[in-house]
Amino acid sequence: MKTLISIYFILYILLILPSALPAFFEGCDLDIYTAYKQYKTDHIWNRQGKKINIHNDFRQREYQLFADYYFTRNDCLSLHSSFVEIEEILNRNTRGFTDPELIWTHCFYSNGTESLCTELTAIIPVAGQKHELRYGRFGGELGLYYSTCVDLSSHPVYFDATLGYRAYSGYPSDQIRNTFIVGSYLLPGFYLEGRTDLHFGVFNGKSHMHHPLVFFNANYRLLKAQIRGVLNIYSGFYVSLGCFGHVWGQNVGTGGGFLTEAWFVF
Amino acid sequence: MFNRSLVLLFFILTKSLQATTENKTEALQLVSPYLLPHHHPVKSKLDCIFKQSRVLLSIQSMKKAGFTPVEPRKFTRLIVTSHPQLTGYILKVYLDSQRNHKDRPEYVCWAKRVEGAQLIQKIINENGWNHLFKVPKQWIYALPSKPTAPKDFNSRNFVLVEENMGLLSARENKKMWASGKITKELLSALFAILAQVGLRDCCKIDNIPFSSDGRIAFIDTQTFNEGIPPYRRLTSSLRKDLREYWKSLKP
Repeated sequence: MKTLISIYFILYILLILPSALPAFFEGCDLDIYTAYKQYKTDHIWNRQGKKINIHNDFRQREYQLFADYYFTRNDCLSLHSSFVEIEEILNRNTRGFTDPELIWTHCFYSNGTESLCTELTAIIPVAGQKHELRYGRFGGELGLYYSTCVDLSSHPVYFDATLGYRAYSGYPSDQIRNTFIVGSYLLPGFYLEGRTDLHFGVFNGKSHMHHPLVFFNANYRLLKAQIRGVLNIYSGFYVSLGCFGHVWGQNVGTGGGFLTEAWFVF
Repeated sequence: MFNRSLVLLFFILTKSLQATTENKTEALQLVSPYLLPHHHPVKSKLDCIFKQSRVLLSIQSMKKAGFTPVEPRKFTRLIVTSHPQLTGYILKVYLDSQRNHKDRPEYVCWAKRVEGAQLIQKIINENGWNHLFKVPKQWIYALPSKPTAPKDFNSRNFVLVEENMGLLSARENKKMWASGKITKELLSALFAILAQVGLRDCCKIDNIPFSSDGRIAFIDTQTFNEGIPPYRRLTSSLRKDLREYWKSLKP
């Protein structure tokens, strides 16, 4: 496991450094985003969507690190990875890395207030499957991203939406994924953002678990809602505080939690 | 169209029933040599307790049925518990709401534990070491077919029944291991058992505690025939004058 973590970090550095260094020197091409999320639940929605008590106190802490590198005006390469700690009363504590995602976003239409892009995601497993933490399988996603900004009662309001299809090798189900974001600059240097994330499993996975799973059931569906306030502390440095909740699902945990984020735009 | 759907439904049902039956048959084959006999004094008491409700569903249902303590162990998340009606015995259980330990169903763990205990007892008997060591007699108890666990849970079918060894507390045990009770003769015998059975997890005093009758009890019998045990783990628990002797022992 230690070896795998080392390899992972080396790969991470190899991927990020070459992209980060020129950006540091050129001054505008790199975003680094960190987040801390806390989640807890003691219920799940089963396959039929019925809420059931799992008689187990499930708590998760997630440390996220994202890096976006714009290597042309229309192309961005992103790396998303997380370290997760899970504490349960009934089962052994689990910790480890989630499967990192490498995303290439290419904008093929942009007119200043609107843009339309494609997103190609590669999911690279760090190690084998781990309960509640990762599938440990290769995967890929192809999606469309649309973004627009309008003025509503003198407040600029932006809308972002993505729609994609994700497939994994092996047992996990394919998923249709959708994100919808709406945000508004309410005060100078402060904006409020609402977001929904839908992971809609098409249920073609092969479940080999016969017990409740809060996360990473081979076949799951989840609608998550989130709200956050973002403060621009100084040029290029942002912090945020928000909360999220699982609104609807099948084969997934109910509950919710809070998140705090910080990011730098170079 | 309707007929086709009926055939498909029948096929799916048959396949699913076949898989369930195969799993149950496999489990029964594995545990059958170790099942608690019908005439055993605690059998009827266990039937009575486990027929009343789904006791293994959760910590709350265990408490409600009268079991104590019900907290899972730190590493294995195993629950070692007792019941006022089962004097002289303890139960080792996993709950329906728990994941399989090391991805193995509970009956595989129980069968291994009973097999390990029998191997240790055989060596103790062959060498006449019953005055120094003991192993709890263990049986696998098959739960009544009803009540069943709710559909979404990891339904358990077996629990492990063990003789209560009357173990000393962790503190008293630590004192005993550092006392004059430990002799070179005892250490040689212990070394022989560990080496012959390949007891990987019994090189720490928590798993070979003293009991109230002055004998050492082997209570973790699941990991046997697993190569050379890590003997050095025991060294720090011994008196200083015995540490070199323990290190000098060779299989």
